[in-house]
Amino acid sequence: MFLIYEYDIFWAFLIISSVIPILAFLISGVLSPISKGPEKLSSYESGIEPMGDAWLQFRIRYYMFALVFVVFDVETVFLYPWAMSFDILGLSVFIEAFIFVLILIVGSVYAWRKGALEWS
Amino acid sequence: MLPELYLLGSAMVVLLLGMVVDARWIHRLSAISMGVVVVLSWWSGVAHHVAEDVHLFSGLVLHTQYTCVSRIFVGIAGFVVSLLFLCAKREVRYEFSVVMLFAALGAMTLVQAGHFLSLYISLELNSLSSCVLVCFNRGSERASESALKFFILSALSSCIMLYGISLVYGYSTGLECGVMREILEGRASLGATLGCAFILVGVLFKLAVAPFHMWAVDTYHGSPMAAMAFFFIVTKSTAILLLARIIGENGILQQSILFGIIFVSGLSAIIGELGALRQSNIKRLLAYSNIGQLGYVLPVVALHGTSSCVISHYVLTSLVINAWIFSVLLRYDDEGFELADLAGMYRNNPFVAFSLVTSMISTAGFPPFVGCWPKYFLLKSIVMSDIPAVVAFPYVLFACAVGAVPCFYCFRIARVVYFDQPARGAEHPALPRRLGLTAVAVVCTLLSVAALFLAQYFDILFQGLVWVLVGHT
Repeated sequence: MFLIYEYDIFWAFLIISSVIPILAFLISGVLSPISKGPEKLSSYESGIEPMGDAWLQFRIRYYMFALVFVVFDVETVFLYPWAMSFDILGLSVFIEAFIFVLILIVGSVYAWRKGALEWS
Repeated sequence: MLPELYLLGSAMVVLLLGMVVDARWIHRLSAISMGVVVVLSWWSGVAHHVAEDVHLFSGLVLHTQYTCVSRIFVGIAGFVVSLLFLCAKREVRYEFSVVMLFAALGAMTLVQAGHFLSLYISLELNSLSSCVLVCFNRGSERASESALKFFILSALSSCIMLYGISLVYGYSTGLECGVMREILEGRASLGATLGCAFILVGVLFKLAVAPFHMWAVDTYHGSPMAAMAFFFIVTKSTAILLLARIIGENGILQQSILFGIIFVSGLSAIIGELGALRQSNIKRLLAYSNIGQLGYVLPVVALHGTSSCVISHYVLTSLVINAWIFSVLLRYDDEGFELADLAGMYRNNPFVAFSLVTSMISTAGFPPFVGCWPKYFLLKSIVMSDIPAVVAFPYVLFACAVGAVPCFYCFRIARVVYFDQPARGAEHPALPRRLGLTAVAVVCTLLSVAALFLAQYFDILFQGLVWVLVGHT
């Protein structure tokens, strides 16, 4: 249907997944009641007058957890293809995957002992 | 592959061991580990000696005579840096040595990369570990600034290099480094040549060649002294050895790429040497001087590459000279020193003053100090190559003219050290006694004296060295 026929599914997927968020915003923009006023433009703090500073100190624990999560999530992604074809690959591939996981376990032990995973 | 496996294993063991053991033992263990890696690479080169090129892991790793020798040189460079750091007796956390081991691993796998994938992964391992080394002082603002500049610019250059790799892959058959051969000889399309230029940009960035040198001065200024030693000794020799294999091995270079390389080396020479004139901080001065030296090395890398031993002569000599310089600089704290503070240094520390002055004049290439021989051989091989004489002779004359400039700031250091009176009546303080650094300086002095007499026979000696390192040539 499109220029390169092998990519038809790709274009269909791309067009549909682009149309859905556009439609979501359009429909809600058309159908929602809009009433402006000074109260609507002020910042919300559970119905009371906002007090204190709007700036909070950045808590490093969120970043540490996100960092460790990203690393081990990428490791998991690398293990998915190995898991899918695990039965037809031989013993040597199993040992290589074991070494890969071992290297990442060393990193995980280091991060754990150094307190990267402390929440308090 | 045994040395790299040992290096990876020992880095991981030392990483875990450092949580229970004192930091000084970790520094000693990592220096011993680098020494074992050098011995293992020597053994592996001799035991697995092959007559022709071998591609391991379906092309990811190249096992040739050149890569075995380069691997040993990089291992020796890493060992020298570990030894210098151990002798400097800095109070840092133990992870510094571990990250240095990982960066040395990246460097060792980089020089034997035969595929763009392993090239890129090794380059990233080296860059990211170097970035951690730069920002190791957590309390220093200048270190954070330098690390940020280095990280952002190296990410940018990695992106450009990846784009070049994808262009080269799109216009040719595969991702091995051998596909560059057609492009560099000029038989490929414009898109492939553009991709090749982007890949060269990525590698030249690591070397801090002139239009891509902006990160170097600020990064070296803010990084700890041992990290700067690592950059100068290991990363520079790795990048030169890698470039010599990628560009120079492929025979004849296309005119446009060749003239491009000559242009950027001329630019490096001007920017490096003239930029060093105005610097008063020793770290920035050395950074600019390092950029300027590439004006001599790059054309020879492009023209001769792996076929002559001049590049190896330069790499080994610059290793000795940089080890010598850092045996002096590692006695100071990480900010370095201003040149004016050097006044009267010879009264309290005569041998250190002598080492500093001699090693800086060796960098300048002033005969009879040891740096003059590599410069002479490099310029001679530019003249004797087959680029047209209308390009070679003006470039060599220009390089000689610009090469007189480092003598200015190196002799200024000599004048300040030996003849200036200290300002404000304050004497230059006595530097802490570091026996290891003195031993390194003594060894470098002896090596440079030996090199003075033996340098003219370097090609014969190098043949012998290769025979010792990897078996029969």
